[in-house]
Amino acid sequence: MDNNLKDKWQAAEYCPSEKLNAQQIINGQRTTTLQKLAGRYKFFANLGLSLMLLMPIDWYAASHSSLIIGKPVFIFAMIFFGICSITDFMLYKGISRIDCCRMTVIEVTGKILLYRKRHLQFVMLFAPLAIAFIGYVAYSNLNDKYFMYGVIAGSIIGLTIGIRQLLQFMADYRTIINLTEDNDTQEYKS
Amino acid sequence: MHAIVHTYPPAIPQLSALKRGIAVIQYLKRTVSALSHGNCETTKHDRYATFGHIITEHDRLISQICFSYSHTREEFEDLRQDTYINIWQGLKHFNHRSTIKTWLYRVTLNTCISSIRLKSKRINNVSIDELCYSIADDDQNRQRLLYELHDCINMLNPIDKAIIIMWLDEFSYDEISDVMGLNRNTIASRLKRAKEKLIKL
Repeated sequence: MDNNLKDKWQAAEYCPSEKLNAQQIINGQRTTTLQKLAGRYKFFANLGLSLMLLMPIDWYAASHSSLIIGKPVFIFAMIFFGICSITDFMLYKGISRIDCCRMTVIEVTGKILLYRKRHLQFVMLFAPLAIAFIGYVAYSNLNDKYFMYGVIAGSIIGLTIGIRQLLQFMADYRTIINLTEDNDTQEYKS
Repeated sequence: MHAIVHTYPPAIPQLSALKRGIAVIQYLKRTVSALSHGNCETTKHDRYATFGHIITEHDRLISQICFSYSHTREEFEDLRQDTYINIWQGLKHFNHRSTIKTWLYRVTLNTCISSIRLKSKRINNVSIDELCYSIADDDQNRQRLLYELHDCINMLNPIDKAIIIMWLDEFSYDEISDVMGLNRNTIASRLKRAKEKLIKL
């Protein structure tokens, strides 16, 4: 049985379907999926930081307009974007440290599952906060017709995308929880 | 490098303490730079040669592992590409403590596991045919059995899949243990369970 399986496996011959562009790899013109993912987190960390720093300017602009947005909203937004930036930076640093050439398979698996789980947990934490924030701003400006149109249009688009994402998110989270129940990867997750 | 060592000492006594400190730092910088430059040249040359060797000699191995972890043709091509990028980037740190084949297994398995897409599902047989797998003796029955074997392996979890793939490629328990980061007994028990699952499937 064992030899039969091994024979079958070793009998497979691979005919390359696509020629490898080795020159681009050597020149460093290509990046891996993991590097792209780390880059995305870095981008969002910088975006969160920029938005946080922009809040005082927004507050100044809003205080000179017809919009009724209180100071606490801007403080809340600053804290929100600040924490978003920190969490994205944490994920960026964590993913950047994954070394596929030196780490063992168990270490890589443990870290990948940990960061995926953290990502989903952060989404779970921040999504309701963001909805509450938008709701509060909309409630404060019920009299501003055009502002409300913007909020309604944004909410419809957001809900359409959000429900789809939520279903996918729940499926991913269940898969990760099933995979993390594996005892051998437990010790590398902290 | 040799010249730097011999020209350096006579100048030192004529300098003040601060200048002496700066001179020492500059000397160390030059030495480190000279050493690393020399090493880089050798390493680069070796890297090109080893990378070329890997592409020609080990592509089947890399492709087979990437295939086992992919669900679609695009995913397979991405994994293969990512693996080669990691191999090229990792070659400068490769210290020959393990064989090149074992190291390639480590890089390929880690790349595949770190890029697992949770949502995609394999399109049975279609993707395998697209990937142009062929059997040495053109036996249709063996080809079908191989497809089935791939599908069964794909149903295992990523860790068990990695263990069974290494076992199928005749690696010893110690080598599997080294790549996986699990002890020998765990490997043996997981392998036993994975084989039982495969038989059931």
